[in-house]
Amino acid sequence: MNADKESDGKYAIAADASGGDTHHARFDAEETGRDTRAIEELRARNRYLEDIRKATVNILEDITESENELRKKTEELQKFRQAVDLSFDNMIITDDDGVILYANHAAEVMTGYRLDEIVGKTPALWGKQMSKEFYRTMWRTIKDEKQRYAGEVTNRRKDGKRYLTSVRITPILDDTSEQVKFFVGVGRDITEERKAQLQIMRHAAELETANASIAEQKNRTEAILRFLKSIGEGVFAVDAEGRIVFMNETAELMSGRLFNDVEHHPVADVFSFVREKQSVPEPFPIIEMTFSKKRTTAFPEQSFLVRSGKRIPISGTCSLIRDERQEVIGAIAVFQDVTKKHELDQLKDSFLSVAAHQLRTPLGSMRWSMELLLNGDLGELPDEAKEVLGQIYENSQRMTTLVNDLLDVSRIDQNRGHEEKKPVDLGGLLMDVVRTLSPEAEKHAVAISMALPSDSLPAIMAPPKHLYEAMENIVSNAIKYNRNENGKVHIAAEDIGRAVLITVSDNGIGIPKKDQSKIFSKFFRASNALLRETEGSGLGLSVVKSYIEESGAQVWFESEEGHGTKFFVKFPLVPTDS
Amino acid sequence: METTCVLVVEDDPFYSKIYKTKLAKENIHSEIVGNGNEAIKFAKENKPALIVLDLIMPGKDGFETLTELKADPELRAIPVLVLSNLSQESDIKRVLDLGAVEYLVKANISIQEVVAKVRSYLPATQN
Repeated sequence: MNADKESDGKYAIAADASGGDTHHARFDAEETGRDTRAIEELRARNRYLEDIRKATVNILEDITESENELRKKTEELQKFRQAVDLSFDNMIITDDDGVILYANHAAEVMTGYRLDEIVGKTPALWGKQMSKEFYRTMWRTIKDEKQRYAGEVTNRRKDGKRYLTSVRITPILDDTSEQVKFFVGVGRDITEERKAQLQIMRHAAELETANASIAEQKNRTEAILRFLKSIGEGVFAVDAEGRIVFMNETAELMSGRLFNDVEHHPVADVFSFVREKQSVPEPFPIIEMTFSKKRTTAFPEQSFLVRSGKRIPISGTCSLIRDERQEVIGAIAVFQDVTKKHELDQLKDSFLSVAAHQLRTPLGSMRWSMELLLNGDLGELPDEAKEVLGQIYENSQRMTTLVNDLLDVSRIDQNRGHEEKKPVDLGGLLMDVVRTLSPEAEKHAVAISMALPSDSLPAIMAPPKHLYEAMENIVSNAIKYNRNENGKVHIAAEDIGRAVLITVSDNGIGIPKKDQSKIFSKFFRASNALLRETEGSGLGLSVVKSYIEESGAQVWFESEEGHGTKFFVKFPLVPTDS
Repeated sequence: METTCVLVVEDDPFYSKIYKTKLAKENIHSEIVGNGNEAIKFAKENKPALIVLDLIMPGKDGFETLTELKADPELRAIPVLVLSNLSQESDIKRVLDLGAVEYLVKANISIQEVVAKVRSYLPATQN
């Protein structure tokens, strides 16, 4: 205690009270009497004692006050410590070298180390997960620059698990503000938080992507719908129950109904299709047919869309719509107005008809005239003249055949040479063919033999005239393209179970390998056939094939050049739908 | 004798001449006319045993003539054999539907076959 400090009045006492009493007493004894001096002395002593008492009281008061203050401070500190200990954030206090002086409970929890393991170590105990540069920067900031540091740091728990913390380190400076005394670090494990954040960000990104792809799909779908809407063909779709779910503009125009009016209506209420079979119209419910056949169905020739009594000729197809599991979820029909094509076909028909008529008229009258001459109806001709006339006759016949063949082919191309199927007696038909061709066989010196089963063959369903022409053509070829001597043609028919097989075999010139693939093509004639018979339009076998297939049968052949050819025609006995 | 007469309706002079020559040669009594109107007139007056009818003719064509013949109760029974160079199926069907007994394409049949066909529709006495 410094009693000299006069300014500090609290502790001030008479500075020379004890040492100066001699001086006072001497002065007083000289100036006044001895009693007076004694009184004065006593008074002075009292005052001195009083002063001491006061000072002592003051000191005691001060001490009490300080004690109170200390208690208060200690209490505060206790509270603070408690708060720090209970803090959710972890808190670490280190000295200026980073040696840990204190760590709260949260710090223990976060690092996985106990307090006694922590104190005296540095945070490197759980650190060292970041780059050296990172720690260097941090250290420079807090120690050299005496600045606060805030950032995110990856640390490692005692159990090895890494975690991410958000930390703030504050340097605590000494009174002079020149020296760092402590570092206080406050941190928080943000691993989960960050994970959640990342998750959210990822979700957001995914959501965005999903949104984008939905938007894209929507655009694409709309584009497809737009295409379908504006496509020139009529398009409509139904769901699995056959109710309208889509119609484009052309379909609206052609049906005379608006999609908005007929959405979800049964298809039969909106579209009525018919096909004409042998000029008799019959309903053609293409949607129902597609569903029941479970495959794409095409409108046959002569199909029409019926609209308020009017018929629009159409062509088109109907296909099933399947989902990703191949389940049928509907059907889509595409059709087009073929009125123009029909008109064109009719024009072509009438042109062909007229052309054939005009070509045949002179051919026919020439034929008949020559027949009169050859028959001697106009008087006998010299043999030489007859011979020449015979040649002219043959040539004119060739012309007639050509005209007929051309007409046949164009009819077939229009799929109009259709003949109604009837039960046909194949055996009888084959015998007729042989009878008709026997003069030709005789001319070519070819022997025809025939093998029919003793039981009559099962009747087959076929267009009789077309089948006759086809068989006649095959047998005629076998006769014509035969060898010069000892030519043979054998015709056989047998029931092979579920089918009747006809074979026409010859031992003639055969079909060269290179020509075999083209033998059923229009206007094609095998190279050796051309040499053999200069006539022939090359249309015969293409017509044969069409006719045979029209009968629901198949035709094929085996052949070896120089050894002969074998034609097969197979009729299935199971009645087939045409 | 009228009932054994064959009426040939043919506008083409070449064909007319051939019919005439051949049928005469075959001793088949015939009358050749060049159009539908003449044909109906002749048929009404003479009641031929058979009518051989061409289709494409100036004026009243074969289709119209056939229609009229079949609409007339007096003439309806006379068989009509159509001989034409048309061969479209629709034409053939139309003609047969109208009541013709048969349809033959001229260029695809010999004159002898025509004679045989004609004979087959005539009463047996003429054969």
